[in-house]
Amino acid sequence: MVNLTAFAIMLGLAALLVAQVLRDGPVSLWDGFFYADALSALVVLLSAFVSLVCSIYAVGYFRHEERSGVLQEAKEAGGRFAVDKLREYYALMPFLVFAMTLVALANNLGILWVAVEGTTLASVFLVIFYGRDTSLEAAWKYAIIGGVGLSMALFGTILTYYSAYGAIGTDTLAGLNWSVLAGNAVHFDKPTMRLAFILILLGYGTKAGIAPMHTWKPDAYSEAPIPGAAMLATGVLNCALYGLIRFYILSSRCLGPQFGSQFLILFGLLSMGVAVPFILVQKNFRRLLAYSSIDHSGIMVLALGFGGPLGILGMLLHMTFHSVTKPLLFFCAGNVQQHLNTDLFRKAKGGLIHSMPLTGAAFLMVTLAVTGSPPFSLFQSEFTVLRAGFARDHFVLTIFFVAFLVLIFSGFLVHITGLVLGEDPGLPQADMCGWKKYSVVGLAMVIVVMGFWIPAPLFRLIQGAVGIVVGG
Amino acid sequence: MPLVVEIGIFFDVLVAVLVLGILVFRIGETFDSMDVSKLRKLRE
Repeated sequence: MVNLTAFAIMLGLAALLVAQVLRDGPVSLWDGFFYADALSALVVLLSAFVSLVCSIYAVGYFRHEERSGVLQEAKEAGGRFAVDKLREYYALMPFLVFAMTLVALANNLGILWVAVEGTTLASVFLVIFYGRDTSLEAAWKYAIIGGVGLSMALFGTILTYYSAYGAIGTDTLAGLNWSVLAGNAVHFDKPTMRLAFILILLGYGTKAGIAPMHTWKPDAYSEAPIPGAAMLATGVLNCALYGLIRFYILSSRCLGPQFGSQFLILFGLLSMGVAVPFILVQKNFRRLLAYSSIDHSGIMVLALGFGGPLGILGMLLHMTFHSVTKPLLFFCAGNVQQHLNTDLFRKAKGGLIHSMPLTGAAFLMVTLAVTGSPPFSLFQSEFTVLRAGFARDHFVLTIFFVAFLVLIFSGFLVHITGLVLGEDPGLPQADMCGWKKYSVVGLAMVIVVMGFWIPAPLFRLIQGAVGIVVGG
Repeated sequence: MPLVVEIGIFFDVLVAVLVLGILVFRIGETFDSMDVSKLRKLRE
């Protein structure tokens, strides 16, 4: 309850911040320790939205877990009492959200790193929530891969500081402040900045789950409780990409956009390509969602790599729409998993629409939405990316992009229609409490509305953020 | 590096060590050994 109110207040505050940024331009507090321009305001708004939606769903989800005794089983497997487990979740969630907000609002690139690492540390315990041996394995992988990745990002941050030192020549707090760095980026030491950008790309790319550093993702997403996994897939992903965008701006001002773009395009296309075969042959629907998440972070990185106003617009639109759409996909998968007590396609015999009509319908809808079919909003953002690709004369790459999208679309459709449609296998009707029902229906409504209409202030915010990245 | 950043990094490293310590403890308890090569259930 406290969580819910707090996150609702936070969404309100985020909306206020957005209003202020739209009115007066960048806001900064405490001598420039906190700094918010349109880009940070967008990320804060998305984080706040995702946290609120996930915490509403979490109430229903955990009540169901408690009733079905999954938490009790976890206790026998070496865990603790159900109440303790819930306390753990509700204590970690605010930490995670705090770190996510700090990522977007910190002006200092060092603090940005500290906050991104904070999101990792807060979410490791979300992954071992159920205390199974597989969850331990997933958490171990997550902590080690995430830790190694982020230490590379730390090196990158330090090298950025070093390359800026000659130009700015200060070792006070301002020496790593983004607002200061961005203005002087032209004078940075170029070879050091090159190295720094590559390290940052590997580091924050690991956190965003770009191939080939994506291997923690399917494990962590399939072991964390659904609301936690949804937060990881949207909020934390946005934070990592936000860090990447900040450094991309610095590097493109220092070295020209060409240098960063070639790597971004390579890694973006690689992540999409890696996701394809795993989506086509996937046996487990929670892991399917994780690969979809790898695919989407690939799309966003690719869009950033295409660059230009159109590419950046596509990326930020994609980030917004993805954050709105992805949680619903997780919620539907969570409902199905709780109803069937399995996350394998093999054990689920299909025909779910008969026993859980609401979730089944929502699942089909959100599958179409997340694979980017019209009229849903992700179609628009993917189309923008496509246009950006052609506008930049990347014909072959763009054709690959479309081919991967089509393959992923077909893979998803085969799996999810097999799960949802079909003969009635005679399962009992699922009971859905209000919390679950309203979070699913509400979010589905938001997705449909977003397909046809973007609120004008939100679009102005995105345009403002595009202006910052392109260099206005 | 500015002092605040250094303090932040130290804090993160401290928490990271704690988290890894807890993980190691849990793995040792569950598998009766610290051999992480036993962790190979999750694969495609």
